[in-house]
Amino acid sequence: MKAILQAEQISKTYQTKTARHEALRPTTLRVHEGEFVSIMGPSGAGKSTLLNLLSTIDQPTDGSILINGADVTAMKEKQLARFRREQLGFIFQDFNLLDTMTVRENIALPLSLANVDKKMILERVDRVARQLGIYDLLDKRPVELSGGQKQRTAAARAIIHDPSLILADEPTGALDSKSATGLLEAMQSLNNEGATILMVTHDPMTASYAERILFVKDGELFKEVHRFGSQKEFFEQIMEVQRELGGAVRELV
Amino acid sequence: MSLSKLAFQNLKNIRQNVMYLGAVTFAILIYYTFLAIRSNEAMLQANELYGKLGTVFTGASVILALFSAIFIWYSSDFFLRRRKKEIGLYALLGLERGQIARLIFLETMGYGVIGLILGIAIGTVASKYFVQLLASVMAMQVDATFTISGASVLQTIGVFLLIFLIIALRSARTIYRFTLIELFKAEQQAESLPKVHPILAVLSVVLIGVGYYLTGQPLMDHFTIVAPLLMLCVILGTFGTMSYFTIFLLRVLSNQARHFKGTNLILHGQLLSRIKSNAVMLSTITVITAVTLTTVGTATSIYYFIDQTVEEQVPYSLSIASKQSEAEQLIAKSDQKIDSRTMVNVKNVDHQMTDLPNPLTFTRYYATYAYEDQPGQFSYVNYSDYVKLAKANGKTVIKEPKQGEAIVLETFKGNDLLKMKIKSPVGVEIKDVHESFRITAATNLPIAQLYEKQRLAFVVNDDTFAKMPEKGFTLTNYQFSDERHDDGLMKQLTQLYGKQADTEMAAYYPVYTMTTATTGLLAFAAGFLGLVFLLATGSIIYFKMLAEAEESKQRFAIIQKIGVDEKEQTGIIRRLVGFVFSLPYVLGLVHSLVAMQVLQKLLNYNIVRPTLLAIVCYTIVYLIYYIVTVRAYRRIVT
Ligand SMILES: Nc1ncnc2c1ncn2[C@@H]1O[C@H](COP(=O)(O)OP(=O)(O)OP(=O)(O)O)[C@@H](O)[C@H]1O
Ligand SMILES: [Mg+2]
Repeated sequence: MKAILQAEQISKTYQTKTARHEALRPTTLRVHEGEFVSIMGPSGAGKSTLLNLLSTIDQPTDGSILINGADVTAMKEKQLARFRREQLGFIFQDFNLLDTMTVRENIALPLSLANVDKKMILERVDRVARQLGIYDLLDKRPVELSGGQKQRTAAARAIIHDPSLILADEPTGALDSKSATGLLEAMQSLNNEGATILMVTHDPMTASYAERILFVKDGELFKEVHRFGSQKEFFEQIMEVQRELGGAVRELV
Repeated sequence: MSLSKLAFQNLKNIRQNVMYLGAVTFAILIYYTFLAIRSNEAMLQANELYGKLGTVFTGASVILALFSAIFIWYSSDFFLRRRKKEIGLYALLGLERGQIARLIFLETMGYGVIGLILGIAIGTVASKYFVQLLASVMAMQVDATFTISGASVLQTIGVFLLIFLIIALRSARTIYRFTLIELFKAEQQAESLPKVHPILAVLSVVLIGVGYYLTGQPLMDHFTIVAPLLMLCVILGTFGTMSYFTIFLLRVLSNQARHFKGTNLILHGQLLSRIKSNAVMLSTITVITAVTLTTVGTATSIYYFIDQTVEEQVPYSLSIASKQSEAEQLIAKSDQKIDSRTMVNVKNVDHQMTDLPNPLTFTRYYATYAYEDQPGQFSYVNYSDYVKLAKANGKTVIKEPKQGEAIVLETFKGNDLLKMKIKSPVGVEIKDVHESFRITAATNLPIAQLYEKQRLAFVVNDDTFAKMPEKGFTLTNYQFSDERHDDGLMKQLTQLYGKQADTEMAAYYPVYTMTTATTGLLAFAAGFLGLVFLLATGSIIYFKMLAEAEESKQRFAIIQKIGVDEKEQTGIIRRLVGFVFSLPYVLGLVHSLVAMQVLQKLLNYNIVRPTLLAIVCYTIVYLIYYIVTVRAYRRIVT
């Protein structure tokens, strides 16, 4: 299987006036085409740091990241921006929808930036919106939507341009369990249709929708768990690792 | 820490608020400078006219005060928005809202006081240079010094303390009304999508069109009705255009294929979300821009043509109707030399004014220049005198009229009724009490510059003139060696003629000095106000856009993450700011061009050059504002 994401020995050190903080120790990880991977870990473990590096929003102190064969650590700002909008799709905890635009326009944005023909854009938006069950909301504006609807809009925006990789940071963080389930099921079906997804979460329930989970602790990859069998079994397995993790933390103290 | 201490602490944090303090100081500086110029001792002593024209300044200073209030209002609004989060923090730390409101009140007043001190200090220096500039446009010799005018200082302090009091109260009230959550969400939710009213949109544009159309109508006849109606149409149309037509336009744009091209989606969304709250500002600025450009254009035009105007109204250095030898003795004793002397024999003949032939009916206006008891007179001169006059004035000489023919001389260039009302009176028959003439030519040539002696004049051949039974009198026109200079001759001449000084003599010099001083003062006042308005409108847009930038930070962070690169973001900002700057600029410019079109007709000069100058200056300053605003906007959102 082709590796969509290939991070080699990436690390991140935050340098403040008074102190150096190694938020991420040298880490190597791979995500293959069509995978649904989740990153878990306690608060402050470096999950967001890792995701920001992988999503090119932040630059690693060391190491290299290849996405779809392209070395993003060597790119300039302009190239990166272009790369992000063509190759990546984002779902953020706080939605990050533009309140000045309708749902349709929000979803259309990545295609519009790529200067796709208007007719084609509208067709694609309709299709994706149907897929995510927000077709009836297309002419509304984000303020008129519920959290779950907003996040599905964000998901639609993340996949509209067929990105090689979809990155999600706590996508269910602001949702109630029903909306969260709706979104995760939608993400799972996107994954079944071939989308590659990398998701950060601290919620075991959310993580159990993935097929592989990377546990991060103190800026390091701590453990990797693959899903075998049902989602319920997977969930139990995750809880088990979390206990282990928590214990490890307690040991440290 | 007590509230006043906290307020003081915040005041010291000036770097962050330097823009606001700058705006406040600027407003005070302008106002004080203006008052200081008006009450400048040196100017008052040098020219009594200056004191009399004080009303121009008083009017202008009222406008300035109003303007300062609006200006400070906008800048304080920005200031407040920018600090919403900080204020939210105070609330979270346990300060009561009443206390925070008081804190904001104290701070606003504090900035007011600093602004007053700085403004008056800088104003004292600035006014000296402005007085010098004013003196030079008024062609006066004045030694300006740095002076502090007590009355001006007091008035400035009074006016601005009032303004700050109002604004501080309003800011405090705003704070008082904010809920904690609103304070923390410094970014406001986008306003709801504005509704499209196509009918109102079209109607607004039509209203402006009607206003424009009215300017093409004969204004003079119903000026009092047409002018206010016209203004009303244009102003209403402007407000309508900014409120409805812009929304209509943006919505039309949103339905085009271009809407989904590149960053247009983001741009249109942002524009549409702000247009409603910007409409009033944009229309106000449009109207101000139009008024300013027209006023400055007019004033510069008048000032620009001042020499020409005076030359046309008073073409000779001196005209007299009597006491020729005495007058010439006086001239001989002065340091003026007589370059040329043209004597004209004039006979005034009664005319039946009631049944004048059509193209000449306008000449009834000329009768109004005559005494009440002698209406219906025209002047006649003979051909030989006409030739002398034409040569002295450098005009081409028209060939001699035959028996029964006459050349008409239009004598007031400034009014130029001949040109405005009728194509040409040539071919028309006029009748006086004795005989009738056919007009064979028309030209513009004053026979003298004595208003009291002036009628519409006809040139007839020498024979005809000699046979006229009326008693003739002589008008003498002199050209001096240096007519813009006077060593007391004017005073002596006035004494010589005594009571008849108004009717028997007319000199160039007093008209010249008087007109230059008046128009110079007007041009200065207009230019000063124009500059202030320009800076203020630019600053208002600047602050408004920065307030918008503060609220759009989040949006730019989002599009940055999605992958809109810096260059594209700058492109969005450029177009965003460009839209807001160009709307009032373009519409205001068109308004003023139409207005100046009318002016051109009234003044009968080609005002293209002075107008162009005003427009170019305006455009340059506006462009600078545009660039500065784009930069500041970018700094805030990236
Ligand atoms: N800009 C920064 N400067 C300095 N230190 C930072 C910065 N951002 C994050 N850190 C530190 O890096 C570490 C990892 O942070 P990160 O945000 O990746 O945690 P996380 O795993 O996402 O936690 P959470 O689940 O709470 O979101 C933390 O200890 C944090 O304090
Ligand atoms: Mg995080």
